[in-house]
Amino acid sequence: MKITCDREKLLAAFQTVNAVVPARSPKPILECVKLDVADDRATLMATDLEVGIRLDLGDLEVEQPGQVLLPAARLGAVLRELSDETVQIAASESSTELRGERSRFEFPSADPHEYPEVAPFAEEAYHEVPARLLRELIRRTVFATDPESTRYALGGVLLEMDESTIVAVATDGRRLAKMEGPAQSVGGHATGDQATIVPAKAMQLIERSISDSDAEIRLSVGPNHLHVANPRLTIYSRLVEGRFPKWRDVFPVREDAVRIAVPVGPLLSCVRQAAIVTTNDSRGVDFNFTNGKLILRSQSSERGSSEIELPIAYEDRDISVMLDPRYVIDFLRALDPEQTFTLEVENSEAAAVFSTDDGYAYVIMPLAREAASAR
Amino acid sequence: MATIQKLPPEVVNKIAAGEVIERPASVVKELVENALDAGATRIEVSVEKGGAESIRVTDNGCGIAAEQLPLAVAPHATSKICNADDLFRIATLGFRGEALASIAAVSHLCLTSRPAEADEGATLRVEAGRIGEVVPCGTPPGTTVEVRNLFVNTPVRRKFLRTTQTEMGHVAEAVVRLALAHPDVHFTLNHGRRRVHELPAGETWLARIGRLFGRELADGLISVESCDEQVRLFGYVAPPNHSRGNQRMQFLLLNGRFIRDRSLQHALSEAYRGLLMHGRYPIAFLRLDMPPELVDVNVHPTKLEVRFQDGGRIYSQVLGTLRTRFLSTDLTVPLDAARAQTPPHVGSSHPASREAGSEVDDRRRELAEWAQREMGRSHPHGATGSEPVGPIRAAAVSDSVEEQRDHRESPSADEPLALRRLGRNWSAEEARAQEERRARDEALFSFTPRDATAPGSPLAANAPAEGMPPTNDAHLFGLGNRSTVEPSQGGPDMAAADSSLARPRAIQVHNRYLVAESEEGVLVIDQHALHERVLYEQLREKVLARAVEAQALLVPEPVDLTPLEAAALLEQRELLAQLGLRVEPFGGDTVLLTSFPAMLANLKADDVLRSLAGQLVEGQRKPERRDLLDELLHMMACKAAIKAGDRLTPEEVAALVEQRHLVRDSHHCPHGRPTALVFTRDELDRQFKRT
Repeated sequence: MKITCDREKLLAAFQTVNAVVPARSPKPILECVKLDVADDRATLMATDLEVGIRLDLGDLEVEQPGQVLLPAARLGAVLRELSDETVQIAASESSTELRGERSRFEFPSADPHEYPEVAPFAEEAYHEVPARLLRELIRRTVFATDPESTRYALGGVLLEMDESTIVAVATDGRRLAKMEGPAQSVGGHATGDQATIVPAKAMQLIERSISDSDAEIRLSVGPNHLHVANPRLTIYSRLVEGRFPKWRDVFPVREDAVRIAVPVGPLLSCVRQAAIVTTNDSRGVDFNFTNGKLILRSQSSERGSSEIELPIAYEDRDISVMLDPRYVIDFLRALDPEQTFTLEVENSEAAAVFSTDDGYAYVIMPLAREAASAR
Repeated sequence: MATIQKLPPEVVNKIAAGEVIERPASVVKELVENALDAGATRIEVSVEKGGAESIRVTDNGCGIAAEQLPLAVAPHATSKICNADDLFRIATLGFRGEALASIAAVSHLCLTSRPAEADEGATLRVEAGRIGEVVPCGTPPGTTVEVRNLFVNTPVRRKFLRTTQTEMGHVAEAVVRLALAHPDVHFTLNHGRRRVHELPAGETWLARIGRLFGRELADGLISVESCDEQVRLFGYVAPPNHSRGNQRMQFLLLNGRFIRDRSLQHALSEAYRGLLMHGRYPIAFLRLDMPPELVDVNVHPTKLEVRFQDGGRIYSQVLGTLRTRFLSTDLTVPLDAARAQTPPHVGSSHPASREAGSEVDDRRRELAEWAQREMGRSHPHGATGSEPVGPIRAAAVSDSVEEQRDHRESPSADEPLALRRLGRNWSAEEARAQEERRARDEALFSFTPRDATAPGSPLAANAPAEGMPPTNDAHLFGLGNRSTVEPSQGGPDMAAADSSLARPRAIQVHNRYLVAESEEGVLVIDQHALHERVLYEQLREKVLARAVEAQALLVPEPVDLTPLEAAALLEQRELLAQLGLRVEPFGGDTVLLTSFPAMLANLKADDVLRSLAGQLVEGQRKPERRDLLDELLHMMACKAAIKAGDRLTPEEVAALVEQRHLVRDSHHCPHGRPTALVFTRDELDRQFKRT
């Protein structure tokens, strides 16, 4: 195998697939990436057996097709350090050579046929989702996952796809993020009753690997895997096995809650301020809604107290609810600061629901301060 | 003067009942054991109000002939043994001939029975010891014993009954123990109208364990088996990722009888040593089958304790079997399973995910190493298995030190150095090493100001560190291993520290212990225990005065417990709510957790709940908010504290040792181990024969 290619392009491609490569693996072969060169195209592949990625390299000069395994960590370092415009990679039986203009590297290489196969996307039933929406779907939910949970499989994002919509849900049992949007089913593809839970790591990889300018992304769910593809990229991920809570049952639907329009940026700033004096074991911030304003109060014995006011359009009964500011910040950071969202509160014991008009909803369970006097 | 008289039989029976019948659960145990001894294949236990109101045990066993009914409720009447020799080969669960008589003496008992071959059955009522008439009646083959108004004539004992929930917990526990020992028997347990357990006959043992304790646990169990000439050990143990804060999940079945045996429990803990955190106990279901003559069960009326003829051999067999099994299983299977459940961490490049992975690797490696090491040792049994601490070990250390000394330098250690150098014609290098070693010795082992000059000398600071080869004992303890003091640290730093004894100085040995000096001697501190204590004090100060924040759960967490634990938790719901833990009954032995203290976010809810439940079950009196809060704080502190095996920077060591007064004063480690050992200067002087 012998090719010549643009160094920066190769580096960019390399960094994308590198996210999958384990730094240290019981199977050393997984610390490599595989480069598969055909006559007219070249594909870079990496997998840790949980998640796999195939990335098309685009234009390059192929002198001789073939396959080669490249040591991910070293190759990355070389590509970053070189300043040449192009590099040449040539593989022989036992080693791989990389040449720059004034430099030459030789790496021992393993048998590329021993590398686990990363399946190409060949499914005929799939969903088509706009790249931008898919990224948003992931960005707005993945932070709410909980890799520690053992009772439920909360370490991933639940995907539900029917004829025309896709829903992503993640929760850690204390808050829940849900985002939905339009998606086109092709070939009768649907998730049905199967719990499709995609590991957070795979979701982040998908989010990072595609860009808003990409075309429609295809998603196809198998019995225990998810396949995601666009013309230049394929990502394969095993699904998380386990049960996901019945989120529709816990999502609050209520009549007499109060809905308030709140701007994202100003609230984020206020919550951050209020969070300054909270500590790990005294983390609650009181959200007091009163005529015309929202007052945030927090205090802890060792860091002092804070009180922050935010004028809002609110004319109703006084409501107070204590929330964990980190959960609120997670939500606000997933939004554009210029945006406005709807905050739904009922009383100090009921969940607070944050929602936007583009299909995003977020539930936070309140904190309660148990009476210390009852000792 | 009081006259001596023979007690009337009612009184004798009441006394006997006092030994055997402690609470409704004891009645259930005795009756179900009778049913099992009668060869029943279906046993139904129905209980009202936790057994205080009524207990009914129905079986399909061999039954009792009508004319024998009065004999059945007479004291010391039994069909199970005939003569005293039988006592030493008991194959039945009961044999004392006391249970029915004892129960009948303190309750309203109704015994109905029909042998399979008889045409009709008969029934006999006994009201608080007064035996009625045998009346013929229609009944299916088998025996039904109904006990109402337990402790009707012993009001004191009746007063001691706890709440319905607690008593029912004990009843369920009794049934669970028996059902576990007899998977071939169909068991049903009803409380009021509620069916607590329905266990079909003929399941595998594993299936029954799963039915009683949850599939999650059963699926992960590791089977163990071994046979020597007479003793067969068979059963399941849980991988280290499942453990409990007490020993109640250790089921030892000896010839089908549930027993508690300290020595075997110790063998279990020993087998898991290094695999479980301090204060955690393994889960095990073990059957021991051996000829009845090898064990004496006639030790205690409730037969919970037995005496083995050769306890040491059985101890070794349990320990050896488990170790061999652990060595041959790489515990990767359960570990991987655990990892598969917890899907990959967010972001592969995130250090946390690497750590999690390496932690698993480390544990695996540690396990293999540990097993190898332990296998190499002989297996001591009983109390000798625990490490000797204090002066004994210290003596061992000093012996080895002295041997070395005698070997290398026969003249008195007080002789001037120069003389020896000339007289013995040592090479300069050797002498330098020698001097350096002496300097080290003094820096470590004596604390008089005159020593301050020795380690500060350039010679000592530059000399290559040549610690003496530590003997095994010394190595274990860390005292003899002087090469731990690195030159950079041991030289000028030490000298500087010397100038003010007030500032504590310490070194870390084996990434586990801190060795520090105090006015009276050398302090060896368990680093984990010290840090735990420090954190605990900090947390307590912050939390005790204030309210605890509770995070409501969007998805309530069901937690499977033992019947006793569930009952104990539900009984203390209000108290738990004050701590931010809201629990609700969720059917069976499962409770639903709907809110959790926000400060415990890093702990696993089910672990926390189980530990608290253990505390509640164990505690005799009504727990206080403070006690439970203390327990929570201990758990937090324990989780957050540095572990044995963490390497600390010198700054960290110094910071930690600054707070050592906390361990020195009143520390008791929550798990009952010592946390700091003191070797007084006098003691050391004596050991080195300096006095």
